[in-house]
Amino acid sequence: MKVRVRFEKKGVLKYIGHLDMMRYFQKAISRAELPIAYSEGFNPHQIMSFGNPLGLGMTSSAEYMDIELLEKIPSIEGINRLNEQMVPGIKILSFRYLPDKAKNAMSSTEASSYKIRLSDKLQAELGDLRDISNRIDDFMSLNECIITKKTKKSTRELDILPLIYEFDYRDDYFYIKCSSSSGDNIKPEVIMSEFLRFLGFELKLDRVNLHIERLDIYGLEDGNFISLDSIGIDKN
Amino acid sequence: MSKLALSDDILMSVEKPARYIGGELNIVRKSLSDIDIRFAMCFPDVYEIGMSHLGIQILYEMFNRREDTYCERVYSPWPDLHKIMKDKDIPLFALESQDEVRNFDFLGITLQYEMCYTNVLQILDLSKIPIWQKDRSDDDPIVIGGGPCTYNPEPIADFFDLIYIGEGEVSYDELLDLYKDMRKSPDYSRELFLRAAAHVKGIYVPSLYDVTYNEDGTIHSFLPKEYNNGADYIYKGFFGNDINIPSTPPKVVNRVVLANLDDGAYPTKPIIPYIKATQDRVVLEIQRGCIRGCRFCQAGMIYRPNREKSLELLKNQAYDMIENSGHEEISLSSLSSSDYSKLPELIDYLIEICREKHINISLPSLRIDAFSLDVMSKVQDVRKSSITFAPEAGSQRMRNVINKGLTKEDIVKGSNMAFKGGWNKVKLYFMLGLPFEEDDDIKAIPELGNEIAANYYDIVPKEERNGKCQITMSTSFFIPKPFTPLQWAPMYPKEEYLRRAHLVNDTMKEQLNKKSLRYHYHEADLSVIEGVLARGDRKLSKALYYIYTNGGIFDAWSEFYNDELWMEAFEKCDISLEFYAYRERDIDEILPWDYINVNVTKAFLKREWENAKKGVVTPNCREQCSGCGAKVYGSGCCVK
Ligand code: SF4
Ligand code: SF4
Repeated sequence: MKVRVRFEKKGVLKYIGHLDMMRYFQKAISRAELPIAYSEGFNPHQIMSFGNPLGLGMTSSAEYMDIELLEKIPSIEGINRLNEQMVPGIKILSFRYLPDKAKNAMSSTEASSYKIRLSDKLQAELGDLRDISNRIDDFMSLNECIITKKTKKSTRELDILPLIYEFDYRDDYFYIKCSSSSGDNIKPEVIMSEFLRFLGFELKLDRVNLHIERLDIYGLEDGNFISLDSIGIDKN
Repeated sequence: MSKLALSDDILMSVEKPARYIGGELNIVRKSLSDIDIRFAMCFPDVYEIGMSHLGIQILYEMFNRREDTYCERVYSPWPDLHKIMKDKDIPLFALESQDEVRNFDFLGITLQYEMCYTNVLQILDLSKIPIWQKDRSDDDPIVIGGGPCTYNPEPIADFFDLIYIGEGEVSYDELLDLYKDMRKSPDYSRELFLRAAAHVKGIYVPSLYDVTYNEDGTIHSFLPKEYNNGADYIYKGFFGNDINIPSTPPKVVNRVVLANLDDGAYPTKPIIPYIKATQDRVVLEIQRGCIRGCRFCQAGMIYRPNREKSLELLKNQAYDMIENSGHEEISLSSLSSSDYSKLPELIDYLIEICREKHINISLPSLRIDAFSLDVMSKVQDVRKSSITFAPEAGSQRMRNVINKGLTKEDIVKGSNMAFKGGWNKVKLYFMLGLPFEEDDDIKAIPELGNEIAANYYDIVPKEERNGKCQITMSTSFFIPKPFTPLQWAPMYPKEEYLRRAHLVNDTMKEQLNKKSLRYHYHEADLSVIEGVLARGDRKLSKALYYIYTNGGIFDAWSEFYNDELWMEAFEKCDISLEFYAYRERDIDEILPWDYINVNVTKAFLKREWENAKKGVVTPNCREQCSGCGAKVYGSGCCVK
């Protein structure tokens, strides 16, 4: 049976990359003695897969990992047993059983939401953020906003505006919800930098001057975005 | 959120920031108000290498078991961060608390290989501790070295306050107690502490000895200093003890040894790095020392006598470490693991628990026989894995010179057995440049490889073959090390090493089965430098300082090693390769490390050097005791 685990990754854990997180969880699951399934052969591996990798330097309240269990354990027990094995900064938030036909987290992914804070240095350069945020609607009402996307194989032009589903500013934070499907994955720093360019600021944005937290990842159900978390159910 | 020594923009700009943030699972956290001694334990190489070292983990466990001591870890900042720390004047910090190393009581540095010496200077410099011992004040940490290179610490003696000679489990408690007692008293001075520490077993205090040299550069005398006008000094310790400080340090420093390995601390809750360490697995130390006495092998001499851990304890430790780490793999650590007397029982147990827990067993290189092949076929994919022999020399004559008890018959029998069992890859390890080596001995290396390959095609019928066999031969260049019977032997210039390597290669190409043979050899220039440092004296410290201050760090990494800089430093500091590397030492010469008594006597080493010249084989400790001197420890193979 498939279980989707949601966890948060905060604080200094932002310096730990995706592959390292996978190894970290492999060991944590062993220590927690979850009844996980293993692959066959001389080098057995736990059957697990992760959702969209989180870039180095970002924090997250929505990291997803799908695992295959051999026997059912109550969701609350799964959460507790894993939490006992965590380092400060990582916390298990849910442990939900997926329907058999559910796709894994990575291939279900359609959109992601982010919460973004600008570093003090960047804020000082930009002036009053409320003035800036008042221009979000103007930006979103543009005819188009074309970026050039480079992949290993090709370069293509892409209009990002239709891929931005929400763009707000509240209490010192920018909130963005945008496409992160495998075909049209837009990074939040790209949106911020296009927005600021529209306002006349040519700035190099990176994970040092933008503090980005991933708030959630969504799949599609009946044409609506639904948190990857809500695809599974708790079991007692 | 925990405090970090480095700012976000620095961490985001360096490679693998996780090297510097600490906070890993199973680290020890202590409150500073509860402790008296802060110990920074350093492995002077990059995090992933340092975190893989078992000795440090043992000491970390041992120190932190003391309530009054907090031991934290320090590794070498990678060159990218090194530059930032120098430019921005950021002092080096320990991982757990992220506090500056210069505020610790001790900085312990493990010396595992000579090529890390420039990194030792890097650590001192970045910590803002004066590099030269003589320049340190009472407030600087006590800098103490340990590990295999301390069996000749002279090239770096001027950078250390103390050198610990022997196994850490024995004397650290006494040393730390002494420190606490003296440090807390208002009369504390570094000088007095060092003088007192010189009388703790296994502790060598380089600054308390004077060396004089002969005209030809050899050592004329190595003598303890005398102080306090020749009178003992009584120091009132903080806890009311009278600490007697004699007016002179001991003439010889005796190596200390843990008699019963079962008594030692062991890291059964190992720290789990976030980033992949070189050893990303449980490491179980099964024994120390070796019964074999190969004459080139320093580890085989300086860790005598061979002592085994008990099977019961090993089973418990393996189990606990697997449970507490979640590692996917376990490996055994020791010299010559096949000699551990309860190996079959131990491996059976490991196979059993590992199967249950889905863990891989990474086997040490074992003597190839029916038992080891059976075990290997249980835990590895025969078609993908290889079998390994370390004959170290190609001809039987040379193997007798170095006392390597492996015969051609052993190798042929073992590889044939493996071929029948389905293996077709063989790895062979050799040394080049051994004393008394001639061209015929060198050619014997590819000839042996060829013979093994020929046997494969003879005994495995075509239809059962899994393609060609692959015989891989690797050679390193022999480096004479202190406290080995070959410590007097000469090395060769780089060109000569390369000639020998090419001779192997050219001969290989003439062999019938050349398509099944492969050959690799190590860099020659690094080997010569390592040889100079291994047997060098105090005059080398100036050259090391020159290299470090001219940008040399991470010299153990071939991509950073700068041969020109080393040669320039040697030239500027009058270090001649002729003297330090290429000459044969006189049997009566005072060697820089003669004041250390490892309890493998010089008389024994001389006897063995003579036996090497004659090609006479010496039996191993289980067959017959050869009276090396290690019996004084009263343990292990000497008392069985
Ligand atoms: S078998 Fe020989 S080379 Fe190996 S550890 Fe023992 S003495 Fe050293
Ligand atoms: S005293 Fe004898 S048995 Fe003990 S280590 Fe030396 S040679 Fe081996």
